[in-house]
Amino acid sequence: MTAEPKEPLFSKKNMKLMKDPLIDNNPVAVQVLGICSALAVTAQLKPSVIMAVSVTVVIMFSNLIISMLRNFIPNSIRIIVELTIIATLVILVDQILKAYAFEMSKQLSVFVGLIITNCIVMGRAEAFAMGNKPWPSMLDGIGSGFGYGIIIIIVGAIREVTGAGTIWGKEIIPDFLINLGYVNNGLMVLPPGAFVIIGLLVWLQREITKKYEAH
Amino acid sequence: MDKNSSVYTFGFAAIVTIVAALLLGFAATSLKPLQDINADVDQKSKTLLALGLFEEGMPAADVQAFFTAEGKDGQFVVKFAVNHQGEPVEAGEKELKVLELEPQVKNVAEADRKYPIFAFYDSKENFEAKKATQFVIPVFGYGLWSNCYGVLALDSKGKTVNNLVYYKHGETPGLGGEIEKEKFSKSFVGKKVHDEKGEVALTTHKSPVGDTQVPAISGATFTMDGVNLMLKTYLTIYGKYFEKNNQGGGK
Repeated sequence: MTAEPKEPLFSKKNMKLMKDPLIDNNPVAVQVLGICSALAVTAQLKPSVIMAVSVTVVIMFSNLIISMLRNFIPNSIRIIVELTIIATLVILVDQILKAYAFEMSKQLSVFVGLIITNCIVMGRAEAFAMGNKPWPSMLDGIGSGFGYGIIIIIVGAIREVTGAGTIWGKEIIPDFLINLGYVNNGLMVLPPGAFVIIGLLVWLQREITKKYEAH
Repeated sequence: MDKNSSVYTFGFAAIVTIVAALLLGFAATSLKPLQDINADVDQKSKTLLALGLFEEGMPAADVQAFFTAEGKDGQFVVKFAVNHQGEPVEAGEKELKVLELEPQVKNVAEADRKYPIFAFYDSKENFEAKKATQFVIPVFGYGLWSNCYGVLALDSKGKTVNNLVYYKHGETPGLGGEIEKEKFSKSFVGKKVHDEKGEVALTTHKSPVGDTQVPAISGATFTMDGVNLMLKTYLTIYGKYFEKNNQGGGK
């Protein structure tokens, strides 16, 4: 079931699977998936990072497991089987966070559970893992997770700095600026702030890759 | 075997479900003790928050220490429960585990409720003489978007507010969300619970007068309504305990 002996583990093709979703085919910026959680948990940097890691772990293992089972999963119930596997992994992540990162799990609250409904996870399982070998599937999962993670970490960092004047919970706005009348941007604390930043990131991504439809 | 046959499909579904269930069952059971400790420390730190003893990033062992018979730095916190009539009642570990009153208020009949309350002793002598210097009670009430959860610290007679800290809410940042700010907490310090007639009178008001009214947050009328109702409800319930306690010579 492993890759054919001729193909090395980190062949160009495999590496492309991992690098592609970072910029060229970013799940958030290009496919516009996973927006819900990208709005909800990105008010601060720390929960964004935890969320990014959680989602990456879930996609990685769901892709791996589903790819390993792909020849056995009956076609008529494949979606529900994928969902069961994803849900199991998500609950595991939730339980582990509750045991080892209690504060974070409280802050992320329902959004850990909602990883189940993150379209990126289901999308990769259905579009890639069902038709590819375990190793490439896992790389694809890691890549997609990073692609999602990089966006929410950027959004989280910008929102925390502009909205709360802190980064990773530490005050960074110098006193003299506050004395000069600097105020935090309240909009950035609210979900619409994330929309604005994601919009700007999508624009930036299009500019870098030059992949857009001419109108 | 035919992969599209019903038997195969059912069999496969059954196996996947059983494996998933076993895995989750194992994880839930083995992580439970750790999760319980986390929840316990979390609850205790909320009490310390109201007493002004909690600092961000305080180690779990330090938080726990306040609640032991040895105390921490000569300070002690003891947790017990009172019923709806304000009489101290026996309460098991299980019932005392949850700080939030919400599950009880929703699911338990008034007569069977056990309201948690924390007594604070500032020295070993007072601890041994059972003379509490402060009490902390959990409170919750509605807001505009969500329920707001807080802890209220009162003096030894339950007549003066020492602190009110909201630790969980979903109100609009900048408006109702201001209830979590120190400014709002501070405005409660030293306020009296009762008016001259002995009625619970502590409330927020847009133009506060006297020592039972606290400046309301403007632009957060609905949240303030919730805060007022919450104060009235829980100060009345816990008030019965303080009344009995004060009559009994401050036990």
